[in-house]
Parts: sequence; structure tokens; C-alpha cells
Amino acid sequence: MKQISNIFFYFIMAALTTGCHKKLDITQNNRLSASNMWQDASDLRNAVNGTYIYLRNTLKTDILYWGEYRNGMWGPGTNGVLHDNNMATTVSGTMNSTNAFASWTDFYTTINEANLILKYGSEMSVTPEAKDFALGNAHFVRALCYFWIARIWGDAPLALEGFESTSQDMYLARSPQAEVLSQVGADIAAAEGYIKTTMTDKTIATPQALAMLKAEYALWMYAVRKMGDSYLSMAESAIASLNLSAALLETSYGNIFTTKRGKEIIFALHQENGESTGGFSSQQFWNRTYLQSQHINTTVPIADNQWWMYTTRYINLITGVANDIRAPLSYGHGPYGTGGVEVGWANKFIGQMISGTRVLNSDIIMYRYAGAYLLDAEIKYYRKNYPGALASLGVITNRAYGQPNHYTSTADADVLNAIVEENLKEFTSEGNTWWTLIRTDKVWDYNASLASQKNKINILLWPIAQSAINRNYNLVQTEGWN
Amino acid sequence: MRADGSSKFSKQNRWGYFPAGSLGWIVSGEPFWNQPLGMNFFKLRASYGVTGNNGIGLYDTYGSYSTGSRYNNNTSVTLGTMPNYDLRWESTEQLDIGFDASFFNNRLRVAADYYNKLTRDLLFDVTLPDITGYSTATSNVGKVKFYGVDFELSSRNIAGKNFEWTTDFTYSYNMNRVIELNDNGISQNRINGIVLGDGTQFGGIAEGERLGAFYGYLVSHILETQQMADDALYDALSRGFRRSDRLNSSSNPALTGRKDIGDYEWINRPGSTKNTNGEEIINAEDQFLLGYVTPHSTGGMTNAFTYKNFSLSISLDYAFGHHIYNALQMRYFMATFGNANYNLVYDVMDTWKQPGDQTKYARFTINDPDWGNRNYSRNSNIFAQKGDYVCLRDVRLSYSLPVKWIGKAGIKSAVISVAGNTLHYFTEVDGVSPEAVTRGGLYSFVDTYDTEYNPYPPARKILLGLKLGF
Repeated sequence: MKQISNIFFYFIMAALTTGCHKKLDITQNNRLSASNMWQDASDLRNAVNGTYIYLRNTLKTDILYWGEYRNGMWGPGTNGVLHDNNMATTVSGTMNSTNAFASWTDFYTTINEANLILKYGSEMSVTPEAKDFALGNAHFVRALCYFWIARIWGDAPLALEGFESTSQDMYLARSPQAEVLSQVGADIAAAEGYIKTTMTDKTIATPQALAMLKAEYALWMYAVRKMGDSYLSMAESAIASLNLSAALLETSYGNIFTTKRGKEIIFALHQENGESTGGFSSQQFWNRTYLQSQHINTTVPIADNQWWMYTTRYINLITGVANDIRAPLSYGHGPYGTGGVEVGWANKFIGQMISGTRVLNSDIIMYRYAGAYLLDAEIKYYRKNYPGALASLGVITNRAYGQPNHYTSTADADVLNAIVEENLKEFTSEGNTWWTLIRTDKVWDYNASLASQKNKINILLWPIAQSAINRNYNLVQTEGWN
Repeated sequence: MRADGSSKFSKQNRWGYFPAGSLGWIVSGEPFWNQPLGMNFFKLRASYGVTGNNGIGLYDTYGSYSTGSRYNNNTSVTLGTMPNYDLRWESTEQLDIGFDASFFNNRLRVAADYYNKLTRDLLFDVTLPDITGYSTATSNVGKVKFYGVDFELSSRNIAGKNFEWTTDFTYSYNMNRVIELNDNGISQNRINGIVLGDGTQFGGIAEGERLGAFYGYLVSHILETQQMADDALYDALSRGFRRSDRLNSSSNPALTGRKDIGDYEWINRPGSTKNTNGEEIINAEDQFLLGYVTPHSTGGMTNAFTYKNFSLSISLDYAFGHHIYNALQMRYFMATFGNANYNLVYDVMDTWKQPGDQTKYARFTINDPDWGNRNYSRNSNIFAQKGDYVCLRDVRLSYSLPVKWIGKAGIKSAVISVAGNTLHYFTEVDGVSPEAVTRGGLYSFVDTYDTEYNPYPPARKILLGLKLGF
């Protein structure tokens, strides 16, 4: 009996030792974890900066692969030979699922942080300004990411909650492209409620940046998705909110690329030494071994290797009109190679020389006012307001050649061609002409390889990466790319 | 019964409860025992217990965020580790059944045990879908069974007045099998596998397979002629260097994949990705099982002899049934002069030099990973060596000085001894100790170098001793 009472005593003691449980509530304060993150407004602000770091990582190189290099106007660099398989297949539209640029991982990493901001930002008690800033930027960034994703890959997983546990459903299948695009519209609408006119930092969301995204989105829904006139009106009102005037454009075209956050810039991803440099432009400049020494970094910017250069057709278009002030910025060239060989290069994003070294610290320009004018011309074209479209183009051509009436024919086909040509000339190496060519259905006129595959289903999309399929058994390769 | 709490887990999963108990029955103590076969002692034993493992990182439950990057000169917070509040203790239940028996007045003792461990909620790093923004997360993934037998024999072979000889021998057999993993839609619920072009997977861990496997390329043959080199499979890792034109892919990327005379031709894995023309190629998918890092058999034997004032003991131990990846040896063949400054080993002289050379080593290239065709700069069966060894672990000879010699000096006892530790390995492993596993762990790739490529050689010690008692 005594033994039994002893056993009973030990059980009681065991039950009472729960007193020390609180000692196990240890918060590891030497690093941020979910237990000490999301406490105050500074956490939200820092997380917003984190999403832009991710967005910058996502786009700094690939923006041209997704938004321009497929337009048929680019080819191998370094004397017309240097290209790798990933690049060549991007141009010809024969990429496979292991193509280095087929991965959406970086977009989703960006989205995940935006999702966490949306969750915690709406729960936390912070000032209305802090909440507007956090939620506005998170909706803006998420909208931007899904807009790019839907246009690049079509159907895509729609992750709207941040991932915080392996018990969450992480193996999301691809939602139809229409649903992804509809989410973009919802996020743009939500962002409008939070992004106030007091937000003026051009490296993050502003009312103007949001208006550009909205206009671009609405035009896509109208022209590509054929969703009807209401989207054209949406694009119109978004452009109207920008109060366009020629004074918003830089007089000197070069200033756009050398003056950070200059007057023409609406939204640019910030780069600087020590933070983030390089990106697509580091694949556009020459290796020094091909150049005469006096031209290295004086006339010709150098980088590791030139992997991309314009086709002759593009060069002819860029230099087609005498005195086009854009040409020297778009296309640097001259007999600067060893032995006097002619070399050429895309000349916009050359960064600057710091202590004798070229630092590619140019910002990645997402939206600028010239783009707003060109969208405006496109909207007016769809409205069949051809003189209006030419008037908007005239602002661009006036700066470029001093000719506000460079295009005069108001025939439908001529106006459309004029819009497409000015886009191609204005935005060399800025990563958006591919989308213009799809909206205007002109891709086939510029990329012969794509034209020959016009009947292939989903030819204007990218395959999804094999590595994504390997990690998520619910993903299926895009039809036409399997 | 014990309860363990760990702050590394979230509140609801913080405590683990681990009961244990054992039973023993000395059968030879029962009245009916009549010492069959001279067995003077016999005990049956059984035990059962549960133990816990909280071997996770400090941030695996609560996740972590990273600071330090800047955007437009503003501080930022980016994602680090995904939080996983559902992490819980890994628990292992172990059943052990065995007996102890002694024969002939304890001259011969035998003990044997069978154990069966079942580990639940195995803590393992799982690859996550890429849309999560994280690559892996520590997770509780399933059940693994560890089982085996232990056998011990201890014998006093000769017990005379002046001479005694005893032998102790042990043997353990250990094996494991993955029983169950979380359902992930992949065949055998495989985790962290290598995916082939046809969608099938191998490697990582999978239901029904053994833990501790490692993988690499398999050599088919050495390319002996120009024709063979021209016809060889495209090799995604090859720099395309040829001695005939001294060119490689750093000057012309189109040369990637080209092979030269003297290179290895690797074995293609069926089902692996082909090139756009539908031809087989060699890439990271073309790997095969090279071995397991854990031996299935381990044990040792000690013989001790005593003759008058002399005594001698000799201990051996052994491990069989595993492979090690001898990356240090591989490093010597890679010859990355640029940053590692490695000397060569004499084995490099056995590399292929001209057609007709009979050797297992392909052509040697200076700075193979950067300039050569990576014959040696990839894990392959060339450096996966059978890890079997017998080690002459301890030999000790001692002599007790007779008391009549030392008594006058007021010394009660004096023993002079000479002993050697880790004197010799009988093994096929080159260059390093077959035990020098310094990287990785039970579930991950293990090889014989640490990340600095500088493993310590096994310490061989000779000890001279004089022990005095007053």
C-alpha cells in the first residue's frame, strides 16, 4: 500500500512540475522571427522594401527576356555570334522547360512577402498612414507580379496567402489565366484605396505608377483578352488621371537614363552600388579584349561579354530618321574594335564610372511619361480617333525629331504601324515592346520564327520550368510546350 | 516515464512524453533449472521505451526573416526560413529482446539482442514548391524502421597458473528502411529526388528504401580514339577542351559538351532528358546509386594474454557493408591550382596518357573543373570506395617488475608498458582514414572531407608507460 501511495505521489509531482513551462517561452531576439516580426509600423515598412528588393531581383535581368528579346529585333552579341542556347531559343520561340528564364520562382517569392504584408498589415494596429503605405504597396506589387505572370505563363497558381506552415496547401495547381488576370484587377482596385497622393517616391508605388499599371492592364484585357469596351474606358480614365502634358517629358532624351527619378520617370526599380547593380545591361556591353584600349570604358562601356545585340533590321529602324535624338542612346557604335572593327551596343543603361570602374547602377525603368503618351495613342487608335492618336504620337516625335507631324496618314493600318514603330524606337532595351506587339497583334511581322509557328497553341507564352513541376506534383506543363 | 519540453517547438507541440520499461527473468534461478549444456546462468530480457529528438534549428519553428539588404537606401526585411508551427518531437520507440547466458562456470559468456526501432515524425528537410518563396523547410515526414542484432561473446580460453588467454568478440548488424512518408503524389512519396526527363525520380529518400544512399556518375569506358570522342554523348558538364585545338567553352560556349580522347564516357540513365533532336545526353540526371554511407556490420575482437609478469592485449575492430566518397582523393585529381594549391598524389601518374593505356583513371587535366572536361570534377564511382575496414586499434604489452627487485626502493608495484593505437587499417580506402567521415549526417551525403578539404589523418599513437605504486 505504501508503494502505491509513493507512486501516486510521484504522479502528482510530475503534474505539478508544469510550473516551469513559461521558461520555455523563449523568443530568439538576435534574429527576426515570426514571433518578434510584425510588431510595429517599421516592420511593415521594412517588409515593403523587402518586396521591392525581390521585385528588383526578379526583373533586373529577365525583364528583357520576358518583355523584349522575343520581339524578333534582337540577336547574338559580340560580332553577331555570342549567344547561348537559352538565348537563341528565346528568340526563336523554341524554349524548353529547362530554359534558364522559364522560372517564375522570383515572382512568387515577391508575392509571398506581399501576401504576408497584406495579412499582418490589416491585423496590426498602426497609424492609417502606415497601413495605407503597407497595404497599398503590397496590393500594387502583387498586381504587378500576377500581371507579368499571367502574360508570360498564362495559367498560374494563385497564391493569395503567405506561406507560414507546411500544413498549408502549398501544392497549388494552376488557375486559369482569366482568374489570375481578374485578381490583378482586384488588387489594382484595392491599391487605389490605399495609395494616396502623398506617396511620391518614384521607386515604389505612387498614384501615377498605379495608373500606368491600370492602363496597361486594361488595354491588355481589351485588346488581347477581348473583354469589351469597359476596359478601354478604364484605360482612358487611368491615362486621364495622369494629366499628360509635354512638359512631363525630358527635353534631353539622355536625361531619362542618367537622372535617377527624373521628371519623366513614373516608376523605376532603384539600383545603386552596394545595393544592386547590373542586370540585363551587363549582357549588352563588350568584353574589353575585343576593343582598342583607348576606347575601353571611354567610348564603349564594357562588361563581361556582349550576349545580345540588335538585328540589322532594328538598327535600320533606330537610325531610320536623321537627327533622331534617341538613336545615339539606343545604339552606340563605331570602329572601336581591335583592328578598327565596327562595334555596336545598346547604349542606354551604361551606369557610371566610379573610381575607374564601370558601375552598372542605372535604375530599371518600369514606367515613364513617354509610355503614357504611347498608351494614349493606342487607346485613341482603338477608339478609331486617328487624328487624336497621331497627336499623341506627335508629342513623342516632336521630341525625337522636332517633327510633331511626322506621321500624317490617318488610315487605320498606317496609324497602327506608326504606333508600333514609335514604341520600338522609343523603348529599345526597356523591356516592354513585346507586350505592345502582342496587344497590336504585330509580333508576326517582326519575328519570322514565331510567324512560322503561329498556329502552335500558346506560342506567345513561355513553358513553365521543369524545376517547378518537380517540386509541385499538381503542376502540368502548358499545352503546346510539353 | 519522462516528459521533455523544448523551446524550439511551438507551444502546442512543446512537450514530448517518453515512457520506458523493462523486464528480466533469470531462468537459471528457477528451481527446475538443471544446467543444460553446462549453462550455469541464463537470463531473458525485454525492454521497451520511447525516446525523443528535438534536433532542429532555433528558427525552424518560428521561421526567420533577414535584414541587411537595402532598397533605395532604406532598411528592409526579406524572407529567411519558413515558419512551421506544426513541428513536433521526433519520437523513437524501441523494442529490445535478448538473453545473457554463461557456460562452464562463467568460462564462456554469450549475450544476444534483437532490436527494432520505429522512428515516427522523422525530422527532415523537405523541398517545398517554388511558389512558397522558400526552398526547403524542416518537417516531420514519416516513419523509419531501424533494426538489427547485437551479439557478444566472452571466453576465458585458457586459465592456467602462469598463462591466461581471454577473447572478447562483438558483432552488430544494423539496417534501416523508410516505412512511410507524407503523401506528396510522387511514387514512393519520394522526397528530394533527382527527377528524370520522363518524370520518374530516384535518390533522396523514399518509402521502402534505405537511408544514407549517395549518388554519382558511373564510368562506362575511356574514349580511346578520335572517332569515339566525336561520337561520344554530349556531356553537359564538359568544358569541351581538346588537346588538338587547345580550346574550351570559356572562349567559345558552343564547345560545351564536347569530349576529347582520354575522357570518360559516362553511362546514360534510361529515362533521362534527351536533347532537342531526341538524342541521349549526359547531364545531372545521369547518376546512379554509388553506395550507402552506413555500414551494416560493425564490431570488434580483443584477445588478452597473460604469462607470468607479462601481459599482451590485441584489439581489432571492423565495419563492413558501406561505401565512402573519397573526395580528398578526388580533389588531388582535380588539380585546381588556381585556389586550392593542391599537391598531386602518385596515383595521378596512373592516369590515361595514350590509346591502349590500361587504367581506371581518365586523362589528367590541370584545373579540371574550369579548363578541363570535368572527368574528376563530379561525384563518380571512381572515388566511391568500399569502406570496409579492419583496424588494429590497440596493442598493449606490459611487464610487472617483480616485487623483490623494487621492494627495497619502497615501491609496491611497477609496470612498464608499451602501447600502440590505431596502428593499421586493412582497407581499400586510399589516403584518408576510412572512419574520417567529417561532413553530412546519417540522412545526407557524407564523404571524407570537410568543407575545407582538410581532414585530419587518423592519429597513430605509440605510448610508453611506467606505472609506479607506493
